[in-house]
Amino acid sequence: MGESALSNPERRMLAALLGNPDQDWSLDEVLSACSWHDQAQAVGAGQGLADAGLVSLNEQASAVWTLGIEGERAHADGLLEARLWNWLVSQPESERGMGDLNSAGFKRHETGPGVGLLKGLGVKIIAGSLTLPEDASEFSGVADILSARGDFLASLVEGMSEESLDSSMLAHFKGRKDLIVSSESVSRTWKVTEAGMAVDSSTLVEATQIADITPELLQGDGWRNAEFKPYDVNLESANPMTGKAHPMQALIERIGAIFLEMGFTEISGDYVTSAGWNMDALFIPQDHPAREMQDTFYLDNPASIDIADEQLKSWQEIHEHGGDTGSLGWGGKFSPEIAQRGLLRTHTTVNTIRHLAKNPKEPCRVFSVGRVFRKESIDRTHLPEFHQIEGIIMEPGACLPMLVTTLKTFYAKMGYPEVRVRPAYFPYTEPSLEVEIKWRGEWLELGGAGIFRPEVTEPLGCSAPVCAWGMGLERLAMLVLDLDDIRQLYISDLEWLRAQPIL
Amino acid sequence: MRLSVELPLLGTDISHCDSNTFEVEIFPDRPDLLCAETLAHAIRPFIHGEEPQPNLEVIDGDITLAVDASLAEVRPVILAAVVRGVDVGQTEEQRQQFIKGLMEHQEKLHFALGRGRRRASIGVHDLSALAPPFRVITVARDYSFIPLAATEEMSIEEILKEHPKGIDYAHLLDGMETVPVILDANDAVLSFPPIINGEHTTVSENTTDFFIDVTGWDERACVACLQLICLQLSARGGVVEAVRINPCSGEEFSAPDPAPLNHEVSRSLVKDILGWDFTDDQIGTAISRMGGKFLGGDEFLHFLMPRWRFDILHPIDIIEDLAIGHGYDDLGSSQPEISMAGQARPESMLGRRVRECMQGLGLQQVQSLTLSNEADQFTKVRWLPQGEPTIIANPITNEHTMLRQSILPSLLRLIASNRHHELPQCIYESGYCVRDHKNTTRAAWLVADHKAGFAKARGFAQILLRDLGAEMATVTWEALEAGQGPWLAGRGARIKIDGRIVGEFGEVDPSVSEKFELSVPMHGGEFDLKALRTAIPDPVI
Repeated sequence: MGESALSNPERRMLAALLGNPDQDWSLDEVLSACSWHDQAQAVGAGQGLADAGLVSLNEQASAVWTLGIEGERAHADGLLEARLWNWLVSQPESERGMGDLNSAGFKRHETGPGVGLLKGLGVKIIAGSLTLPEDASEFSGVADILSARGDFLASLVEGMSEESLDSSMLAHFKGRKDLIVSSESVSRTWKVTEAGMAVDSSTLVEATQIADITPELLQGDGWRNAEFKPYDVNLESANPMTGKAHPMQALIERIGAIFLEMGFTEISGDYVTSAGWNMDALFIPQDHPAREMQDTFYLDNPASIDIADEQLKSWQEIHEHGGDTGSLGWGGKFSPEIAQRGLLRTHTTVNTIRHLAKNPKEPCRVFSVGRVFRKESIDRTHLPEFHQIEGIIMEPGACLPMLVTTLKTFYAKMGYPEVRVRPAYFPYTEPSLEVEIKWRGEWLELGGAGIFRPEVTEPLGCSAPVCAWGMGLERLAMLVLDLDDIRQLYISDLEWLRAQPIL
Repeated sequence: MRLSVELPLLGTDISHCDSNTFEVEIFPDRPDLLCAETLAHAIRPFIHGEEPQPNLEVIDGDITLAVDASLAEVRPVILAAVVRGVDVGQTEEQRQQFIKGLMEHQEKLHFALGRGRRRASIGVHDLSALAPPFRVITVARDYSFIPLAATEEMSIEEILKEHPKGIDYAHLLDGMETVPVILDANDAVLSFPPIINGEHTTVSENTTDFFIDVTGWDERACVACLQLICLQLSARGGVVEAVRINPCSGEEFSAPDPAPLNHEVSRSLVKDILGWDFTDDQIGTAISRMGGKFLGGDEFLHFLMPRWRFDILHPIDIIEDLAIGHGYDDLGSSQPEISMAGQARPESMLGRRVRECMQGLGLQQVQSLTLSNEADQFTKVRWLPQGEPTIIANPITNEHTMLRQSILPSLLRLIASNRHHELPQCIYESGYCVRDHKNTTRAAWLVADHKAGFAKARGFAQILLRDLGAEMATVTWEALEAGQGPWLAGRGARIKIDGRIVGEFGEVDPSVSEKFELSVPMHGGEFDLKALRTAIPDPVI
């Protein structure tokens, strides 16, 4: 590591240490040499220099003794035995009884231990009265002991390492409750290494470090020799506010692009349509369960949508007896009133059918993406409106193999090259199939397909078979986004929405 | 194991499978697979290569059923059959299982083929309790008998009002003064179709001989129901015995008809739909697997298919059977032959440009439901209906009673449901609204922030017009009157281009925010994309 990468405090410290490279520098010496007051600054700079191999660090752990709760009180008010001694010597002999102690203000919990301490200093209890030692030298010895003990406590105010303390005094206070306490302390010394000595001291000039670059700085020359404060790349910053597309929009764009690449033209249609175009045109029988009020949103406005008599008549024939398609039809009576009921489209196939009705002879490839409506209560897996995509091919030669090949191309372009088809049922296609794709190792049903029934295409005058397929988009979105609640897509939590990848 | 792999290839998905249960999903086009016995009948040739049995074995019998002419107006199709000697099982558990299977099959057929018993309904009776011959007559509504699950006689009127089945199906007899009943030689009531059987004919665990009636309005559905119940019972060793029926109109006939149905399919249609010429062997093998027989043919192919295959309406249905019988994984491949250039819709270009602009303004795109309500759309935001509103006849909740005419209310709701998150919240939506029952594309933004005032809103509007390439000289800004829309008085504006309204924007009035339970400063705007497309030419074109 080069010294140019040293921080300013590291430079200052190394420069100071180079003033006496053979010395083991203590913390205090470093602080003083660097004119620092904060220990942490010295420790940090020293660690940086040690990491860079420029100084060696010697760390020694030792116990440090400081005052405990009682010790701080004793330091402020005097040791209990000192206070007792002072009282004792100032009392007339006749008033040195145990009762006098209490009336002198000594607490009940102090008198017991206090008397014990006095005994240790040579005070005796004779006939219930505290009696001072008679020997003068013994008497003055007590005063020395007391002052030594006070000094010892005073020396601990800032903390003292165990080695520098008088061991007998330490032993004495260790035996007394809460007067002194010890804690672990690390003492460090630093010494310049050979690598440190090789550093050219002229490079240790402290540089100006710049955090925010300002236009003023850049307009002058100051920035040229300036140092730019490095940042911690691991620190997370606040996310900037951004705008991006909703995942459904992105999916729609991707799928739309695939259709366009495959030569499909986009069509669209209104949400409001008639039961006739939504269902009767698709040969869905009028008493089919899916047409009931509990599955479809019917409308009060428009309650009914006019359909040309000719159109109604053609559906009527098809439904009642198959018209001239060779089909048996569904039997029963076809109701033009039911056909003209207004509703919200239940599938995008209605767009397809209306396109074919308008352009029955012209070969075409068209697709649509749009919302459809089903009468569903909102819960984790259901919404009353969702997206469907649908594509059709009408051309002479359109057949089941062409449909399957096209499906394989379509899903491969989506990124799912493994596709298989299964028999299925839809009222308006025959043959019908279900499309499954391999998604992360599992077969997954991802759409339906088929060839429109003759009962659907012949009344429209279609010139060729019509291959059709479609799928719902929300299920795919939920898989891709690992979402277990479909509501999140349309009643979104904005934090969630912002956190989604751009699809 | 083999079943779980191959059964789906018949179009019957396995939804659950363990050591002793198979749950199979049957598509509505195959009501002939709705019980274990009839499903097994289809599986045997499909999976195990057994000889198909497209016909029902029926022996002659001497029981008759006479149908009164009055049934023509009430329930015109009446069919019946007798099945004797059914092996209903050795243990009580097996017998209960059998009865449960029979009842479930009946109910599934009522739903799938009967369409709630209107097209067809089935009655199954203990033949030993009955005295043939049988007759079907119509009776007045005060006629009474003891119905199933009752202990005393009830009149027709009482049954329709009080008996659970009567309540469920009374609507099928609405407007009919007389109703059908089936009687035996002692005038005991077997059945009051399509509502309820008589009490004394109830099938028990000891019943081995059955009388089955099927009545309804749809002959094909009735035929299929009768055939399928007989097929189920004959699979249990029962011998099906024909019943002579004197219908309400036409000649006497016997039911059930044992013969399969003959279908004719043009060879060219097979080639058109399946894409290539199948050999006769391939056709024969495929249709055998599907339970039918191929009789040959040149231009037209002839097939015998079971009479219970209700789904075969058109030759196309036989063609699907050929495809399934042949195997969907072996259909071959073919590319579309006509070269075509795909074309996006003209409005999708503007849609993309608007989204880019909005996202450039730091707005997150959201999508909300088109379903909305009058309060959100009109009352709360003080906008008037624009053209006819689309109103739902059968809404689920009062939140979704109409289709939206504007987007901004959806955005206010979305911000309200996100009020626990930090500000700023900046969103936009571009999508369909419905006016005069026609889809129309609109876009709106809403920003909730500490300093979301009018000046910010005008900035957003300026950027939108600038980015779309509007000629600023053609743009006019008009202050909106107080109470016109969700804007604060003096802080809302309408934008016109060449005199045509394209949108409006402003600072949201706190008294409007309050109605959405919001108490943050907001600005927003809403634009009519169709109007913008007309007013601003595409810069590239």
